[in-house]
Amino acid sequence: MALVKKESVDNTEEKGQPAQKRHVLRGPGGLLEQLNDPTPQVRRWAIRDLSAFAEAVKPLCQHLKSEPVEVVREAVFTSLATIGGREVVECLVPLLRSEDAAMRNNAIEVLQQLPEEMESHMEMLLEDEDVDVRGFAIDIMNGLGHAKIPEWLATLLTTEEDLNVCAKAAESLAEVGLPTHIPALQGLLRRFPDVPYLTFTVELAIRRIAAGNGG
Amino acid sequence: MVVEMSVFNRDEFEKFRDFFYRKTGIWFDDKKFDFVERRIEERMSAVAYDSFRSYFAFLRMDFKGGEMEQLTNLLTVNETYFYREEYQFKCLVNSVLDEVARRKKPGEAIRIWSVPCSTGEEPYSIALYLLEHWPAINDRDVAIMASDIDTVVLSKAKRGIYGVRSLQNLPESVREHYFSARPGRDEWEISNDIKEAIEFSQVNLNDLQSHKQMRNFDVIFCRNVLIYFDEVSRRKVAEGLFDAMNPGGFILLGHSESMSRISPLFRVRKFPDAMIYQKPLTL
Repeated sequence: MALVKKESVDNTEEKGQPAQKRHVLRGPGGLLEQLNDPTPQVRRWAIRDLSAFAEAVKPLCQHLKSEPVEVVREAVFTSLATIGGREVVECLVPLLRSEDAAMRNNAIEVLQQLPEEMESHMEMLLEDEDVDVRGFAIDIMNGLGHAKIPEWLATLLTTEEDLNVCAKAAESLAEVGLPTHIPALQGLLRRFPDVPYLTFTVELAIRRIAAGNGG
Repeated sequence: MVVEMSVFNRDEFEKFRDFFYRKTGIWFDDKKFDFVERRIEERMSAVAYDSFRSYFAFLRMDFKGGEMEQLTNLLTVNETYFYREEYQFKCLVNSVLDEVARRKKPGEAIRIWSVPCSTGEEPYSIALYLLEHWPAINDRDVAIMASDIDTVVLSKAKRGIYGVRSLQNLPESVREHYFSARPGRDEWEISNDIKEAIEFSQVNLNDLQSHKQMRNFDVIFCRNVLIYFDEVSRRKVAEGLFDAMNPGGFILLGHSESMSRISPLFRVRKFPDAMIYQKPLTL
């Protein structure tokens, strides 16, 4: 017994594990059928291979609703992130209302990677009746590379009534804020006086914004 | 008198480090201000931005990760050497391998993958550490695979010739036992027995097809590479590594990297020598 060199890379597969026969790219039809396979690992592999097919977005989104195994759902989100595009965004935005925190967090992570496709949804999300959805919209912005983020946050500051959403927006502005945001940030302190964590967040944001402008 | 203008002030440094930490898991304390500033200045010059504010906006918009990768390269130490982050090798021989061995059938080899392996210091370190510090190597077969995307570094790895700097952390007894000095050069060559024990191959972690055949690993060393990927690639790589592992397999990342920030697929395991990640025994 000792250090041994394996025979060859191709011999690394063990018998009796169908999910490991992966040498050839498979077509979407067979892969979609495998979404119903009883073995989670087979479903995971099918989902990962489906990331090469844009037409798989709808079936993958549909599969999310019924897939019981977390690590398989993870693979769905990764494949959707890989495919990208408007259809993915339309499929994932409704998940922001999911009761399942993992679903919501995964949706947020993928949506953060699709800035152009998110643009048309963002204003709507920031005006959503559900305060949680408005908060998630800011979470998305925190990882989104989009030029309109300062503008969206500025609008939010003038209309948002929820303290926690305002605090989240102020926190984001500490990173992306412009001098034009400072009056609205100061306005938050007047609207929500005597809230220590908001005061801290707003003051930090103002300091960091001013710092870049010789303030 | 020449007055050096600062690229950014303390508040902007803090803004940058919060952002960089969120993206990479790497935190710069206050003492690193000058180090960070110099490197940001270098990148600002390379991409022709004359203010930190505009460069930072550009960096933040760089969701494909090109500029982020360049900057991360500058802000991290890419040096590789034998026994780097040795506490992880200790964890391997003191805790991980015994647990893996208990799950193995008689005669079944333990499989370890070093990826990316760069010029070979990591896979050879694994081999040396097992031979020196894991007595069960006398009763167990262990196969070590090593992969990198770069064929130039793979060639160097296969040659197994290293300068003094690479070997600086190796105990002299280990160097004497497993290496031979190259006449007239300040270099050492690792023994053929060790070279032949490692299977090298080219693999692009970011390409699913490229590493589909890399399977059934019990331990993966994937250190200091995930920080360079954009978010989607990081997720994809984590998925790929997960599928490359046996149930209950372990993955070791670089000291600043956190799998929990990338993917919930793995469970954290705390051992006396290190905190590492494990693929659950059942899906």
